[in-house]
Amino acid sequence: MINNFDILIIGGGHAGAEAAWISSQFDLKIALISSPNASLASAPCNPAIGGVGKGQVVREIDALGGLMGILADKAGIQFRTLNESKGFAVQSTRVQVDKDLYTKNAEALLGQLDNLTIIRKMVLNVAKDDDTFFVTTVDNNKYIAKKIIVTTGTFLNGKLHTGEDQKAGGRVDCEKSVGLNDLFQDIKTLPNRFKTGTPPRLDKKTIDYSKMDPQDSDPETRNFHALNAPFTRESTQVSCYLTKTNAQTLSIIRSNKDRSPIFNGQIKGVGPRYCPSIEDKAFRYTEKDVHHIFIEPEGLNLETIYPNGVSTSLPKDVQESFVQTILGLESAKILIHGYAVEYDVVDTSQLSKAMEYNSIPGLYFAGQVCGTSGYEEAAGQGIIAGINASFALMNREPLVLDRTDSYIGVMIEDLVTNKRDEPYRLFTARSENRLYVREDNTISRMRKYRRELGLFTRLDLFQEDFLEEVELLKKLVDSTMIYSNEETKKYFIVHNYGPLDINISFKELLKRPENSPVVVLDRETKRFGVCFSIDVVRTVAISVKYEGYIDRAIIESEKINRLGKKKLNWESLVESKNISFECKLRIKTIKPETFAQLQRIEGIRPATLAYVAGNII
Amino acid sequence: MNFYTDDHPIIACSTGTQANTAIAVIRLSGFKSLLSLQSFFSFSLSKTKPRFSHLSNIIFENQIFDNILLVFFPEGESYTGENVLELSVHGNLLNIQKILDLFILNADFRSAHPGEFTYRALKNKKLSLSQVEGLDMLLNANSSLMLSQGLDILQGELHTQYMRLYDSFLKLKAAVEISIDFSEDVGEMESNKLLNDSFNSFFIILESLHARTQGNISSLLSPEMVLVGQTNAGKSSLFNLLVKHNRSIVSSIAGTTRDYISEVIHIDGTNYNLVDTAGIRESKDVIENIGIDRAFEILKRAFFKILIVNPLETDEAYLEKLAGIEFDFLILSHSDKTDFLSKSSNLDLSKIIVSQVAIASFETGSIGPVDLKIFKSGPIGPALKSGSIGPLTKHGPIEPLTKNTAPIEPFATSGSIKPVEPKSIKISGPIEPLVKSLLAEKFGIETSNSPILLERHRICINNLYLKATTLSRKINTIGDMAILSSEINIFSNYLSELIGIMSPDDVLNSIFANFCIGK
Repeated sequence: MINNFDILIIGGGHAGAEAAWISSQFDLKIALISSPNASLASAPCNPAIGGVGKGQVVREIDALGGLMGILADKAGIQFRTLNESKGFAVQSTRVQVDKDLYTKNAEALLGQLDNLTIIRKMVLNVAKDDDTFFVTTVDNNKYIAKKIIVTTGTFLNGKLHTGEDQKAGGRVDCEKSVGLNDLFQDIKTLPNRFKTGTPPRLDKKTIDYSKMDPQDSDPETRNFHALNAPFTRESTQVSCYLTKTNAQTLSIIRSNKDRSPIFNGQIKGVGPRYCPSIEDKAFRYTEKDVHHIFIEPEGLNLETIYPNGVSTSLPKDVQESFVQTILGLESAKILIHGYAVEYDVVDTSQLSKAMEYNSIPGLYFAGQVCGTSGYEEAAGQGIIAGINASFALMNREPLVLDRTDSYIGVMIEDLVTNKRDEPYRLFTARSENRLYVREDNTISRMRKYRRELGLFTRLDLFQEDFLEEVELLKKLVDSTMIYSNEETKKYFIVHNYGPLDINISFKELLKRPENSPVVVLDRETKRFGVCFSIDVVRTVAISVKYEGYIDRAIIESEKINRLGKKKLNWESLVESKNISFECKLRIKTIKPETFAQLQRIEGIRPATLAYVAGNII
Repeated sequence: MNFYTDDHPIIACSTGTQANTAIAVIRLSGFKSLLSLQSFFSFSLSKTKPRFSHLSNIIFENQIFDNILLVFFPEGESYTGENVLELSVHGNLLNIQKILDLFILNADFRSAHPGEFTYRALKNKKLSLSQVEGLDMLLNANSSLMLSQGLDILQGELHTQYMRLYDSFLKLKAAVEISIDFSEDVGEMESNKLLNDSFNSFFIILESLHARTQGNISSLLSPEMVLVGQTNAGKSSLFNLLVKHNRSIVSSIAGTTRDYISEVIHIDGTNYNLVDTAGIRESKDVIENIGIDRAFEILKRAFFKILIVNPLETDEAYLEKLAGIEFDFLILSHSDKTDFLSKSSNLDLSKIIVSQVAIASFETGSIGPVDLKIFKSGPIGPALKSGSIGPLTKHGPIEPLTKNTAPIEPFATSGSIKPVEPKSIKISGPIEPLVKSLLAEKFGIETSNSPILLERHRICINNLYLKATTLSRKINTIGDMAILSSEINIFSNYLSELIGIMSPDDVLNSIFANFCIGK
């Protein structure tokens, strides 16, 4: 049997699953090699998809034709809209998922693709000869591929820690991929390893929920997948619960500092500051004893509960004693202990925006191996790597998402123009164009990219129809005036629309801060018997609401951007005597072409920026 | 600054080349290695200890040029950031020129452009832009106020204030981002409180800086004392008195015209330009009228205005012309004349705005109190007068002078409205010390809030304050955090003009450094 593929994906997590799914949409032969012990697209950490900024990413993936939105909707057991009171631009969807359902659906959807071969083996070796990659698995089978996408997550030189216990591995119960260590001898990894951790899993029958505040599923939160009806749930909905640590909890942790791998020097990897372990919280914020813990079910039929907020690598006995100090967890039983994992990270400054390794054409990377954290970030890179490996085989220009219109674009540019010094997560703060990069206008933002794929599915039809309706409603809104007369004045008072002393444009009404533009537009279109879907109404209403602010932000950011867009010659910067040695090293590896890119390099000193700015104006 | 483009070694005499002096310092900067200059020195340069002074001859081709002291500052530890050699040479102008030529012709040095050493310091991050501005102020100060502010910007209180402003803004931005990206981690209540607190502390620092930009600062930078009065009123006498006792080592600024004469005098650490405006009188002559207009201009912007009136020869029309100008001091001269009192009582001074009044005799050189009730035609002035800034609240025939240009509520914070009625000085004595003390007193009051002197800084701060004030009115009604954040981002442009560029990573770092983020 000749095992000959166009694209071979190593790793079956969220990045690998997306890469496999999207590349299988083309007329190509795809293989996905994944560890026999781990199911596809499994969620080894928290049981949730989405979140602030991340919800936008899931919708972007969905608009590109990805898998994540479909899976999250199917397995969603609690839906929430975060930042609901803080403005449309920063609202994001988060869905608690049933881990079991999630991965079963992933296996099923991927399994039904005719041109995708799923191989459950450990990889022993990868070699390249001319333009062809040769992959050998532990059972000595050989596979040939034109393109390789590496999505190995934390498995690259992975090492697990629970207290004093250490063992090699990518996650609990999974051996690490032995081959991977030697596999990429020519691949640059970051000098510092990264670290991430996960909390102990609790037996759901041993928790006293009556002592905690419930957080119910929100029926008004929209599904992720555009083709699903927005509010129809495919699974039973459940609640999460909120509890918190106390002085006793923290004092147990603090008195075991010498047994904490993070603080006794056993772990050298850099953990994410935005997702600290409970040890980090205990020792870095010594005056604070109360920290929130979100009690999240891992599945409808699974026995485990995920206590979000107490990620730890303390020894098992310490985990047991501190957990039982927490309100509602007094007799909680730990089913799986928390642990930390240290792993190697690829130096993403060596990647192109297509996620291809610059010096080894045909080799792509995506996901946590690139130093990101989060399923959504991984999936976002996976779909881009999958599309671009496919495009390369079809001799097409790579698909590059712009950071001004997508969070995926923000993330990839941040990754490839920078050496990370801690795990990377998306925040809305990372986007300069936050007022525009919203959930409600995802289709408007992403349609042009999806169109590039050249596919014509039900999704494409839906998107085209959607945008047509949006255009129509926009025109309607643009051309409507409200005339001031006794009747309209009275109507304005009834609905609290504010004064109507003179004629105003309909747009002006939508922009009035006292009104919700969505409610007003929905009511008014219905009143005139014009029927648009609520999602079309939302997109248009919110776009109108923000248009002035976006325009102004563009003008203001142009002022900065004028500087940001200035081209610079990084070679001359490296020669300059006026830039510190460390800054030069960073400039040399990143090779910034514009001032904005220089600015985004982590660790570039303000003085260097001021000097460069002074010299290019 | 296009001419400052190369990294060529430069040389200049740093101590001025106006006159022969005992010692002059020649500074060389930017040479590759100290040893490459060995052929110019008798002292073995390999024995040089950085920042120690060594005795040497300057020699070239067996000829001794001078006996000097040299100090070496290595790259990275010098003023410019480059290798610097300072030579203390004998300060004869010819000697200095000979030594400069020696290095320019026989080594690879060129003459430094004005300010080039400092430019290199800026370029090599030895100084920030605002520090360079401070240095410029320090070096070119003509008042102790500028001198101390120059130092302040370089390393002192103002520099600290700017850093505090930067810090508090960073915290404000962080608070907004926390509210958006991490409110679940930090908690809704806490993140709201954080936002309000951080805006308030930012605004307080900004307000205190803004208060220091108010007022007529240009008149403080090169303060002028102007003498106004008709011929024979006694202007020249006062002028000569003041100049005789207080002549400054600084000479008059060029550009004086036939319309007035001026002289720099030094009082209490500050150089004042003392101006005798000869020009203010009625005239049909076009050229002369231009001169008169100019005199009025000088008068209006002057820091301290003295009006001298001789009651014996007063022209009502002349006083009429001065209506609306705020004088600091009115001197009724010729008090030694017999009909002084009767003539004085006939004066109509009701349109003259003035703070203090005295009678004086330039014959005897003495000055003294005056009984303001002697003026039969009514009181002096429209009675109420403001301090340094702000509209005048007063009655009388003259409209309030609103010369204030500050955009928003300028008085609330400046606290300098002091409506005063004209009053007589209290004591008698020699004229010159009294005028001096009145002048110094006003200067002390006007500078008590340490005004920010640099125009560029004041514009930045005013712009920022304008935006922040607008925002402060609606901060609690903007529910939309994304909009609030975009409003606040607009600040950063102005702020970065003042204190440098702020990157998104600075904000994230501030978040992670100060708050426990992560569920």
